Amino acid sequence: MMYLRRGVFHFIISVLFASAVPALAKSNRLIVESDTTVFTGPGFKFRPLTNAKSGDQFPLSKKVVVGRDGGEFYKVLIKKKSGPPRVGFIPIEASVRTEFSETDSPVDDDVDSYIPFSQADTSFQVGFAGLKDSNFLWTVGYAKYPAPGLYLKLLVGQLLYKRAGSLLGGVEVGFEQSTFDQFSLYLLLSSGVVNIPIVDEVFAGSKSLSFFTQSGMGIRYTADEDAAVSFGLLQIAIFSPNGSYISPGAGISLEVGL
Amino acid sequence: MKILCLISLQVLLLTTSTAYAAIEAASAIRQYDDGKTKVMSPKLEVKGTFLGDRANVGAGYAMDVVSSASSDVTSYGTKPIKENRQELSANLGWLADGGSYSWSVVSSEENDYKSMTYGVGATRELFEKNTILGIGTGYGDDTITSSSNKNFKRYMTNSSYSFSATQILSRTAVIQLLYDLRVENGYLASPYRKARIQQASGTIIGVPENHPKTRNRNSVAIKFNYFFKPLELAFSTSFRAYLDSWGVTSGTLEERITKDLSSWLSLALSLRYYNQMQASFYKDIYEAEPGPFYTGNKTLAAYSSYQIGLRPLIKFSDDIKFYLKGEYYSQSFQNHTALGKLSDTSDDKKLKLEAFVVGAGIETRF
Repeated sequence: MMYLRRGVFHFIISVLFASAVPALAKSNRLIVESDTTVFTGPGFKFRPLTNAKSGDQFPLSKKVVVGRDGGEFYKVLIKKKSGPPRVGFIPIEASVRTEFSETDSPVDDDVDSYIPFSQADTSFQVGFAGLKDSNFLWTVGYAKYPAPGLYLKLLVGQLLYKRAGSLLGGVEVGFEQSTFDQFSLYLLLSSGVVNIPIVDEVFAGSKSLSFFTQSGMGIRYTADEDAAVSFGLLQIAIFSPNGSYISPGAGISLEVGL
Repeated sequence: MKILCLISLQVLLLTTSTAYAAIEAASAIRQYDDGKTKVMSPKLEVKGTFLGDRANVGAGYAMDVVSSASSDVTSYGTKPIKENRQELSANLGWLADGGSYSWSVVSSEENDYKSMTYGVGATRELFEKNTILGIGTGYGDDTITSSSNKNFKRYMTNSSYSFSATQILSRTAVIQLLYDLRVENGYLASPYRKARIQQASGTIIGVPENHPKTRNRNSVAIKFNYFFKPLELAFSTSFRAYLDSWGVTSGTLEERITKDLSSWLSLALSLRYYNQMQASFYKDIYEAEPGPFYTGNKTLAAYSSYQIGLRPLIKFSDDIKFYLKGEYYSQSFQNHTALGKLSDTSDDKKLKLEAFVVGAGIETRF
């Protein structure tokens, strides 16, 4: 309650000052002249945050940021339709121009007051899932984000069935949507081949070569640019023309940025 | 206390932003009649959008009232059937930055069949919304019983996956590619249908069909929507190819042409052609040793069908639309016969179905 009172007091004071003396505030803006990618961090190895279109304008930090690889980036504030604004980085070579102006409207876009939340654009992922009838699935994968909110992954793993483990490998496509700061929603679809070492192990008629398709949905928490953890529900279908095994499940995955 | 204040503030903001909400309702009724089977299908759907159109919640109710005295039913001495199927659905959608998410649940029930299906889908916009990728998945559990055998109870699970890519080609043309996979596992036959088996004596008997326990269905479709400005005609063309693990292959070609005749009246003409090759184990009449799988399901036979329909739509205002629908449907089987007397093939003839479908619907927005 103390915080609230203090907040109300600050608000009243600022309203009084604003009415009494119109203050001139400084405002830096970046105007995009040709479509460009905005990254989550100062470097091309960071995940794309959004695609800026020609004519887009963003609040701009006074400082140019130098990335780990020596590249220079403008630091801007990206306001989304929902959720809090995020800090983004645009290479200085991009076709943009900057503007400096003084305005008498309150400046609430001080870019440097926001903490950047950088995410690597490639990662190594390890996943583990529990399936029905006490069967399990583990995978390791290499994921890359070629566009904002879209990743592609190569994966290998093992279906741990009653008597044997079946090696599987395939590709995955996933959509990820940042919702609240470090939390994001994801939906994925993966498909590939399974090698079942024992005939009839996974389903009646299962032979060495079968196929799998998996889908999953859940929440991902990104701790920083190098680490994330996901929890979600999934389903997997292992099938061949002779038979199939369908199972819902629940899984966890850990992600390390590369 | 601080947390409580923050929660109150968030609730207040949420309540304020939901002030802009729209409710849409649609109801329709459709009747299929091929002379022997009649299906009446009323349905009602309600959808509300909130948070400045960013979120939507919907619910639906649909029903099929079936009465049939088709040859499949009467040839086995069964009385004409009457049954109802009821379906309840609910869905939730969320429009995110650069994409969308949707969740759905559908419950369907009739006296001898129950199913629950859960679905989730997402889209992702790329290249300034010129390209949209979509993925979807569903999981369903079905329970099959028989009204003629109280001890009969079987299960079927299905798992579906879809991927789509939509590309805007110009201001008047859009193309879409879709792939669907559905894996079905469990009891995939009907407790009522019977396969016809010719015994060594020449007599034909009906035995309960026996299907494989899995069916993996694949389909690929391409859709092309084009607006021909000089004549102000909207064309919607699609082709779908289908292949499954039972050996059924099919192709579907569809065309819909829509024309706004005035500010309040539009007309849509639809045409559909479908051609199917039979399942690998399908036979109209099996020998005494039919092999592991045998069926009485005519939809596994080779056949072709076409459909032609007309739909006038009247726009009373921006918020109220009303339409009528009339369709003619014809289905010709290459190797499935309409049974007369079961034990005798002399009165068999190739099955051909002709049906009329009529319907009406109203869409409103509050």
